[in-house]
This record gives sequence, C-alpha cells and structure tokens, in this order.
Amino acid sequence: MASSAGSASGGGGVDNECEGEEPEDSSSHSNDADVSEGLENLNLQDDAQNRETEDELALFRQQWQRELEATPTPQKEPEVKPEPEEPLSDEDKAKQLFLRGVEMERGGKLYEAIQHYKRAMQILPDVETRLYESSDIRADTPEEEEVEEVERSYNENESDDEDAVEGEDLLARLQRITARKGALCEPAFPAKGAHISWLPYEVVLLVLRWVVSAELDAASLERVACVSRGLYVAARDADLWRSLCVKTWGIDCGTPRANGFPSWRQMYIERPRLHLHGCYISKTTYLRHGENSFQDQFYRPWYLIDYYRYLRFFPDGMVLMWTTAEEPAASVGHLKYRHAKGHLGITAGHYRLMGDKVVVVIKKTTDKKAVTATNTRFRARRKETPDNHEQTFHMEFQLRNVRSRRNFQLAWRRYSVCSRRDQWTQFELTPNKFPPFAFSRVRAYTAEALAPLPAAYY
Amino acid sequence: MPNIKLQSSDNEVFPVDIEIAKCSVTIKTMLEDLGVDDEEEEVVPLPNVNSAILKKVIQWATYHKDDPPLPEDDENKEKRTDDISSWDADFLKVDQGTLFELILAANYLDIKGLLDVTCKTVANMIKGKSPEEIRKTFNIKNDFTAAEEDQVRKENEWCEEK
Repeated sequence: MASSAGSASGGGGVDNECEGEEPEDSSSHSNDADVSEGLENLNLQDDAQNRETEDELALFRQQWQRELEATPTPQKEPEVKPEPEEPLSDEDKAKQLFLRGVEMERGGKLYEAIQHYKRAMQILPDVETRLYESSDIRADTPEEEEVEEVERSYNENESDDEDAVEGEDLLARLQRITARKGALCEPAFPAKGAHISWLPYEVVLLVLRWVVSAELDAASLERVACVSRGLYVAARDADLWRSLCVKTWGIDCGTPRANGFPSWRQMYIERPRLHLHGCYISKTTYLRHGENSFQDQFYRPWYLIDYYRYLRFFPDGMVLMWTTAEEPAASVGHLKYRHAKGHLGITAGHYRLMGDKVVVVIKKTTDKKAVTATNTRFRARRKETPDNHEQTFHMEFQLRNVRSRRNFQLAWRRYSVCSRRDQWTQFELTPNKFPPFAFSRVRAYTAEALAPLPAAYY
Repeated sequence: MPNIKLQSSDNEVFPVDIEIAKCSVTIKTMLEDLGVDDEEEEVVPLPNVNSAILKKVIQWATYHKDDPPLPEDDENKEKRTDDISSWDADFLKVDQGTLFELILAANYLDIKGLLDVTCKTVANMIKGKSPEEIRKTFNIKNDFTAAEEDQVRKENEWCEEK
C-alpha cells in the first residue's frame, strides 16, 4: 500500500522535474562520484539551458567531463552497474531492508519480514519514521504529501501554471499553484476594504464547515469548489470529507482505503447512504368503493384515494415519518426540524444504516401528547400501565440508485408492527400498497446553517 | 471594576473591563502570562486590529459578557440554534469588508463566539448559491481554465439537480 501510493501521488507532482526530487538521489549526488557521473551524462543536454543560472556549476562540469574523457577506463564501469547496490549509505540500506520487509509482510512471509525489519532497525533505529517522512507511507491523506511537493518544486518551474500535465491529478496541480500564490482567490474587480481572499486557509475551512453545516450539505460545498482554483483546493480538503463520512457512518466507519475508495470524498459519494437534504416520498393510490346510489342502480361511484408516506432522515440516526393525504408541497415544510409535530400525526423514530439496508424503528402511542419520544418521564409511567396502547413499527428498506442518481430510492424489504409485547404482525409488502420511496430535495432544509459540521477526531 | 486598555493598530486606546477583554483567549492568555496586577492599568497593543473593528469587537463582547458557556449536548444545541440572537443579526448588518475584518479580528483575538457567528453569516451567504452567484457576491475572479472548469463540473456531477 505504502510505496505504490507514494509513487502514484508523487508522480503527479514530479513530472517535469524528475531528477532532483528523490532525497536519496541528491544525497548520493554530493557524496559519490560514481553515481553522479551517471547523472551527469543525463544532465548534459540540460546544461545548455541552465547555463545562465548555473554558470559556475556548468563550467565545473565541463572541466570534469574533460577529465573523465581523458581517463575513461576506470570510470566507465560503474555506469553499467545497477548503481543503488554499491554506494548505499546506511540510511538507504536500512530503508531498503525495511521496504523489502513490507513487501514480504504483504506477501504473507511474516517471519522473513520480521527479519528484515530487525536488520533495518539495527542499522537505523528510527527507520520507520524516516521512511514515513521521505516517502509517502501516509495511506489515508495523500493530499498532505502534495503540500511538501509544492514546497520543493516551488522555484523550479514557474511556467507549469498553465501546462496541464497528462494524467496529473487536478487537485495536486491546483494545490501547487495555490500555494505559490498564497491566496485562495482574488478579486474580480479592484475594491476597497477586506476581501474574502484575506482570510487565512484555516478560517476558510471553518467557513466551509458552516457551509456544510450539521445538516451535511455537501452539495453546497461542491459548488464552492467550482468558484475558483483556491476554493477548489479548500473545498476538497480531506478533513472536511472525513468529517462528513464520520457523521454519516459513525466514528468506526473505517478509512476509505479499507472500504476500497481512493479518498474520503469518493467514499462519501459512492458508499450507500441516506440523503438528508430532502424527503423520501412514496405515493400510494387505491380505489375505494362508493355507496351505490339508491335510485340509480347503474351508478357505482369509485373513489381514487391518494396518500403519501414521508420519511425525513436527520444526521445522528433520527427519522421523522408521516403518513398523510397532504400533497408534498404542503407537507415537507412540516418536516424541516427534528421536533415531531405530534398533532399532525408525525412520528419520530430512529434509523440505522447497514450497508445498503436501512432499518427504521418508530414507537407510536395512541396518546397524542406522548408521541414525542423524548418524554422520558412518560415512558417510565407507561411501563407501569401496560394497558396504554403502544405500537412499535419496524421497517427495513434497501437503498437503490435511480439511473445515475445514487441512493434516490428506498425499497421496502420488511414491515412489521408490534402492538403488545412480543406480538409481531408482519405486513405483506404488495407493490401497489407499498411502492418504493423516491427522494426529493427540499431546498429549505439546507438553506441556512444552524450549526457547523463538527470536526472529526481520531 | 478593573480596566485594561486595548490599543488598536492606529493607536487609539480603549479602556475595557478586564472580564470583558478576557473573552478573547489571546488577551486572557497574555494577561495570565504577564501576571498583570489588577491594580495598575495595562495597555495591551493589538497591532492586527484597527480602531473601527476593535470598537465593534468590544461592543459584541460587552453584549455577550454574561452568556453562559455553550452547552454541548444535542438537545440544547438545537434550542440554541433555533433562535439566532436578533441582536447578533443586527450587529452583523455591516458591509462585507467589515465582516471579513471582524472574522480576522475574532480569529486573531481567539473569540470563539464571534468567530462562529461571523463565519456562519458568510456561510449563509454562500449556501444555496450557484458558483457564479458566489463569485458575484464576493467579487471573486474565476481563475479556472476552461478545461479545469469542465473537469470540476464533471467531478461534481453527482450532486447536481437536474
């Protein structure tokens, strides 16, 4: 995992300036003549371009080259050799041993791996930390690596601003550019007074936490990413997306890598989850017999009855359910806040997400005043009087995609109700009586931030 | 009540009740580190805050000096956020430049309450807007190349409502 990730994300930034990047290379460059000779030959063409800035160095190199040509035989040899073998410093040797250990561990050869680790540690006790610093072992936050990249390549190539490198990650490139500019955006028109670009990065992140808000409005965050290059970098910050994931799947949601996703953001997008910025609505239609007309036997009225089931999910496992004849336009507003409006028949309950399954449990009491589940005093009293009518609804759904829209449908999987203790009645889920819920966005739910997205701590 | 004097970047001095000044963690730490006597009146220089902004900050801190520490549990949080103080709303009816300067001051002085309420105001100016509307609102230059903009749009396709 470690080394491959390193080369992948590092490769994005390195592209044009391959030679100077690896710390091992540069150290051996200064220490060892053999290796530097190999590099020297590679560098010959470049010398011409760099002459202005590196006059002295070039002169020295030319001189040296002449000397080399004069005495070719002993120097030529090491060129053919695979260089890393011989002139390794202790540190490099230890790192190599350690990395070989990692490979073996991955291959399941644990015993050999330990031997390699041990030998590496004997040479260099802190080899792991050094490796961690020099190469990209940090599996979950590849973005951080790019920041170092930025600093190293800071002065090397000013023109890479515009030339998009084939295959390079957009984020990595824009991070580099933004870091060089030192501001996340710039004013379109000159104006007096403070501009949003004056805010330091961490404050912009704080603002973005408010934009996402405790209601997990990731769509607004994505729109910020479209505003400017710098804001793109900020809105892609791994911390924000990690917080979104933790709020969605809980603190033990696992790293993206463990779940098979390249980043926290990708995990948030692709892993099944409930949408919170609107309502899941299911419309049921049925026909009801009307009374036959007394006088006209041929007149048989039928009534077409529509009613709606609404499920509104909140972060932290709370859900509101409402079954009503009210049309969506008139209903969704009542489901904006967590407070269940019992007098309308809205009930509150809890849900849990397990893979692509959603389990909803709602307790309902016939006493209208006690519908809100938060009334603990009432609950205690209720236990003493079992006569009091209470129902527990237990529902299971499956999240489905509707064409390209992820998690836009909730299909019924199971529905049962418990009226008395341990007496469960299961409903038969006929498709016409229990059509799936379709998601519908409600702008009002995410129109205003009431609390920021909490930071996720490890 | 013991006062301390806060000096703005343009050298205006504001005498402030020490308890009010201490809502700034920066000032509080400074005073504790310096071991200031209540007796003598200290002048605390604040080189990052100008007088107009410092005046606003002191006004905010004075109004909120008796605020209870924010409750952390969920139920209270909801109650707290439902009624955004109308005083704060009025207080923050300022131009954008002042708003950003208030954020910078709150960040520098480490006044969490003020930082929260100002960041929230900016966030609510952002929420629900299209990228172009956000650029207009905050006077931000679109520095994407056409290709970059295209790619970002593609990356964000998943959340676009059609």
